[in-house]
Amino acid sequence: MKLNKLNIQLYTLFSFRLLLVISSILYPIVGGLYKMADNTLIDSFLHRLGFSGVCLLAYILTFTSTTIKNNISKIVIILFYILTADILHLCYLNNFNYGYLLSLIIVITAASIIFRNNKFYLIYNLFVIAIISICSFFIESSYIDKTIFITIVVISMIVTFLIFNVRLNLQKQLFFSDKIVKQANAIIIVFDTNANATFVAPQVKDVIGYNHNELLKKGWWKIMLQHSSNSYKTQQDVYKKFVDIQDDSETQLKTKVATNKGEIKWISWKVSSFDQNQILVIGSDVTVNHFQERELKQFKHIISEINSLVIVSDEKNKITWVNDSFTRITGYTFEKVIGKKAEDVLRGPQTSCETILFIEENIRKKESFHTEILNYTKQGEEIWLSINTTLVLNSQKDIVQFITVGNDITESKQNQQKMEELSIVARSTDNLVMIANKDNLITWVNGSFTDITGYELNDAINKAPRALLRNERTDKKEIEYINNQIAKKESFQAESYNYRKDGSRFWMNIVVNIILDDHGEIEKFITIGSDITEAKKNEERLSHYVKRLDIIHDLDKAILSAQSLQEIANSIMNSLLQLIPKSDRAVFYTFDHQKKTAIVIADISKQKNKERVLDDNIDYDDFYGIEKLLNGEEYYIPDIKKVDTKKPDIQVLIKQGIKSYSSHPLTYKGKLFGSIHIGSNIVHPFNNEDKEIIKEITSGLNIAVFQMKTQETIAINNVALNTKNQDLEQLNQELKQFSYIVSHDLKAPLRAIMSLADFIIKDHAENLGDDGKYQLDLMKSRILRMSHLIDGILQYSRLSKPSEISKTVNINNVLSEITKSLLIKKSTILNIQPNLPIIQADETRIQQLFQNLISNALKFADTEHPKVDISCRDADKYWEFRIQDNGIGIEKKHYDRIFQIFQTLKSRDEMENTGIGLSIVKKIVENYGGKVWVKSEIDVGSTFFFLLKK
Amino acid sequence: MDKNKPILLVEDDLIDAMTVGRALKEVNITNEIKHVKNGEEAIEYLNNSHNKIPALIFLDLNMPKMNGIEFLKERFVHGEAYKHIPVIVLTTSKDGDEITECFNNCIAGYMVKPIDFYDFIEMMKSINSYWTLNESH
Repeated sequence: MKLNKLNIQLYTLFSFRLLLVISSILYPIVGGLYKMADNTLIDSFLHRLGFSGVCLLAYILTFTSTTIKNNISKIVIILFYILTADILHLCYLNNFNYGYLLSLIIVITAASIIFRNNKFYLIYNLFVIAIISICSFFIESSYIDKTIFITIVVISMIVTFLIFNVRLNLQKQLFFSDKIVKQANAIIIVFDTNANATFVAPQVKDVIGYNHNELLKKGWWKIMLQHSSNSYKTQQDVYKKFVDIQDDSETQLKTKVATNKGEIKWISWKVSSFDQNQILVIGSDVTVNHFQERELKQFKHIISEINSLVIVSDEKNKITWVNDSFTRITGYTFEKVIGKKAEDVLRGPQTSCETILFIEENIRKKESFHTEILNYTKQGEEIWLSINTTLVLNSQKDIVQFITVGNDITESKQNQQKMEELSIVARSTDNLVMIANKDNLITWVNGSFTDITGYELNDAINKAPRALLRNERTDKKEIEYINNQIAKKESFQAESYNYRKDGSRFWMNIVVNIILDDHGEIEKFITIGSDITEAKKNEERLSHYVKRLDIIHDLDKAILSAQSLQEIANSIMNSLLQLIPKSDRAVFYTFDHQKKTAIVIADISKQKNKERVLDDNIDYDDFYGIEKLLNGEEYYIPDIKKVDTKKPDIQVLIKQGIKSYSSHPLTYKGKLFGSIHIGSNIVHPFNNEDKEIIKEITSGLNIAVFQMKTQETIAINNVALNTKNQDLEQLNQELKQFSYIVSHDLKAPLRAIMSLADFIIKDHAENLGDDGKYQLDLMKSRILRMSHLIDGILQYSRLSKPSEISKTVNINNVLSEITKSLLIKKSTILNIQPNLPIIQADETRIQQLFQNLISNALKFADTEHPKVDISCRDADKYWEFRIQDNGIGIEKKHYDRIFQIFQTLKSRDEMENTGIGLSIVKKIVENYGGKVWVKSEIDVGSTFFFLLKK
Repeated sequence: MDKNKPILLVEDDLIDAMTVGRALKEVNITNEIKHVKNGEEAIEYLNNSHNKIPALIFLDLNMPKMNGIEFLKERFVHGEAYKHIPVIVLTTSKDGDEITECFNNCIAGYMVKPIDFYDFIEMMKSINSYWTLNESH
């Protein structure tokens, strides 16, 4: 039979021993008493004594044998079974004598005390019933006796069982209360209304150091509270708090308590009235809790107040608490997120997968971690959080809690990103970037800084830019300006020379940004610079070039306006001296190749007082370099002393202090006509640019001379032209006079002859006879022909000058006038195309033109059925007129001849014709820029075409 | 035309003067013909108060000493009276600036001297009829 722990605890060795002693003494005495009362009872004394001896033996053994000591409860039970068996045996032997029934009841009752377990007790009872039942078959007594006996045993069993159970429960409760009182880490005090402590749990010593006996007196609370409050009165007040709660109600309060060592402990009291007159207080040490709580309170307060967001989540990472900052930062309220996973709430599309994997990896490894993560607010805005997540583990290394503290680093992250971008820009730009601290000492430079200046970051760090890049040669004004700007705390831009590590100089354009802090003090300088040496050079070159162009332009103007070569030479020599910085003297020669002499046209010196140093004329023999010039080659003497010559001009120049010179030929049509010589008072004075300028001017001068020559030629030609014009004018005048003479003076005698012939015929008709009259008529006809010829010549000669009159001429009108004035045979068919054009011309000439052509056509048209057609068609820029007749026609070989003056195809006697008409037509048409021609077929007719400009 | 007044013919060429005379006779103009050789003589004639004021002046342009145009201008210098005497200019050619200048100096008309005498007579006829017409009005 196994006894459990509880039994061992219940039955102390002492109680067993007591039991054994009582059994050993009581058992034989009871037996003796029965024997004395009823002698018939079978109850041997030896038997009783034996049993008593066993008990005594067991009792003694408990002192000696540890085995028995340890197994005492088993032994007691064994002994108890032996005792019971012995008594049952006696009952059997004595036929269930009621005396033994009493013994049996006593044993059963004792069993109920010994067995602390229902099961064991029931087994014991069944054992007893079984034995009695078996015995009852062997006993020879009445059934009634047997039944009464057994019934009494059973009843006593049931009663003891009930009692046993009630007691067992009580005992258990007591045990637990005791246990609680003893084991609870609490101060348990019961006191009456007189403030006398009636009970103090012993473990009060563990809590406050005082022995519980010390407190079992009236002033227990004074002792406990002695250090907690300064005055008796306050102690009283605290005590009153305990006493005032006398009702059934329960209350809690917390006070400070001093230990016997003077430590202060916080005790939380639970006060309740124990019974009418007693008060139970149970105090538990909450010192740690108190401070923890206070800390927690503060902590919570802090957590709530701090700007960092705090998320507390359970083992499944579901949010259990967040602080106010969480709401402020993310926009989610506590109620919204509780029970949800933080990651489901906060993460979004742009959250980096790497970060998520990193977090999951850490959770898997159950390690706390720190990271920066892109999250999203309720409004969907991106926020960067720097989070610290602590994983709280229990003793089994299971995750209990997650505590995440996060900071909104969006701004700094953005700044950081910006800074990164800027830094990339700063690093990769070709511009020099230099950052200096408030003392203007360099803290950072970029790669381009090194490229441009040659200084590495290490060279530059903690140095003043000025010390690094400037030196004594730097413009003082520049430095002053920069100092002023720094003093004014204004950013600025400057262009200046700077010096590289190797001492070489470069132009730099710098933009200095002065960064001020919140107090308006200089925080740093950010300088961005670029090497503008090339640009600056180009600029200088350009301005030089512009200046050069200006001078050349002025020169060109001077040349154009110049009246003489002397003037040109002077202005060119002056310009050259201006343009070429190191030149000191400029000389311009012209050459007389016949006399083999060079003639000085201009000799200009920069030193104004210098007199002309050369003779006006130099023989070719004395002229150094004349051969080259004659060949059209230029030459440059960089050092005159190195020239190996005895030529006098060089010697003169040396005396004059000229150390070098450059000579350039001027040619016109491949022939040397002049030269330019630029001298300098130093050796090697001219660079390529100077030479270029001289070359440019030389070619300019060539052009100028060419122009001058051309102008001269033009002037000469003009004179010739003027003379010719005058001649022409005279001729014209003469022609006019001639015309006059022809028309008046030649015709007057003709007329006189004619008149006289008429007078003779009239006055002397009878004397002349027919023959004489015929001859006079012939004379008259020749006079008339002569007159016509004169008229024709006159007309033709007048056409030599194009008409200056230009008016609107309607050809239709012109033709109708002509047809009216002409004598036209009635048989003639004259077709004139209607709607002929209107042109700009001299109407008289147009009239002459058509009159000649039409009368010509009429003259040559068929004699029987004369027909003339006049038409016109549009021929691009011209009008093409045609006058067609049906006459005898003209042979092709005569096409040209007919338009020549005085040319006729028939003898004048055959057909009266001056031969002028068509030549007049040709002249008029050609005067108007047109053309006249003829197409003809013999015996069919001729067509005359002519073009007139629209 | 007033038959009592003479016609003043200013012409240097004798044959031309003859031609004019004959032509006038041909068309039955019987007025006395006063023939002077040039402009100067014509002015002299007009200035001479003994001479009858002519009914008409035939003026040749091309003359020695004082030509026709000079005469035309000169006559204004010598008094208003001469203005009323009609002047007919006899010219060799109708072309040129001369005719224009003549008209500018107040002439009654001009005649191109034809080479054929009969043409001349025709012209004289037309002049006569012109005057006849003028007077009948």
